[in-house]
Amino acid sequence: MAAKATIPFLVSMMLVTGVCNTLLTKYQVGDEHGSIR
Amino acid sequence: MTRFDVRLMREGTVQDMQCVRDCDSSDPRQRRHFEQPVIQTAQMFVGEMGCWLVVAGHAMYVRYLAHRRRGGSGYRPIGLDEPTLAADEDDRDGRPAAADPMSPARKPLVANDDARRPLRGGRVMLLALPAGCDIAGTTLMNVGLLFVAASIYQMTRGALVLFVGLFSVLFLRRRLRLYQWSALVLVVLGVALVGLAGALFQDRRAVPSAGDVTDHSAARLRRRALAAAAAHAPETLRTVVGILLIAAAQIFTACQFVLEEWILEHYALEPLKVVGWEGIFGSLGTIAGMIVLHVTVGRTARGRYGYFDAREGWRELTQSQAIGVSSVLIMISIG
Repeated sequence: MAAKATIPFLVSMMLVTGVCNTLLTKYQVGDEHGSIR
Repeated sequence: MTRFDVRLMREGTVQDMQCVRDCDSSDPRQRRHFEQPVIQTAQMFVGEMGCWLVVAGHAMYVRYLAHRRRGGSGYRPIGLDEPTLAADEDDRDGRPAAADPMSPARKPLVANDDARRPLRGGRVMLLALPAGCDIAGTTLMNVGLLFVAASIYQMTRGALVLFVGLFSVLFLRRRLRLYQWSALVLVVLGVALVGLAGALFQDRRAVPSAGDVTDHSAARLRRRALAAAAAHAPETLRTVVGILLIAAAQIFTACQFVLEEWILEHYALEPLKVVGWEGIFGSLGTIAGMIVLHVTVGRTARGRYGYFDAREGWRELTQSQAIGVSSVLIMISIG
């Protein structure tokens, strides 16, 4: 049962960390409006 | 305090946190933000090298703890899914001869046992090729991210599937069916739509006010439209350039993926080690590139404070708390 839940969990974590990575990278550079949009 | 004042304070705070030079200037356009795409690429590769921590942790677990969990009787349960002759190989490749099938979470930590040759010794240098493609692709994407919103950036990266499909057919002799080609065309159309929308419909805050908004006389409306178009032109150009850079970067990223597939088709290596080795080669390549570009471009009068000024980039990274903390978080998210 735990093994079945592992793959969706890992995929979700991959997506979440990807989103965080993109937002953090954009946060670093920002823009003239002070937002990351 | 009105809602506008609160928003101005919040956005001013966020902007000031990213400002790295001329932050005291009264003209906001003179303030400089963190624009170091090469350093951001290096951050990514350092994060990839963090995979070695997991590999080391797993190796220590297998060496010191796995034996204790099996018990001291010397007898081990025979695996129902694995051949008994593999029991002697357990300690070497780290896979205990337990009765349970391998957990999906542990699969990246062990090499597949099949007919492929193990990727060892000098052959590991093969991973420098996809790492080189990753350097080019990621740096171009980071430059493009300077010009577009994060949402447009992420959607434009969808163009990757088209290039991966093309390169798979060209170089790996894969065959795609009609429905797969149709799906690729649909994805490209979607990416093109996103890019077009991003270029045509700019953020309203970028448009300067052109007078009393309640006056809808024809002349006033014409003046406002011309002012809006003039104000939009540099923003539109920036957005188009950013989208083109990100789309072009997908060519290099597709090369990386295809190279990795070719290498792993012929050689066996634990997936986490593949990422770790690419992190090492990518870091070394990026640092070497930063040194060369700093000496040839960053130190010159034209290159000072630009993308290749490594000294200025290091100063910005270490003296700004927001950038330093976000850098560490980026490395963790990559890892």
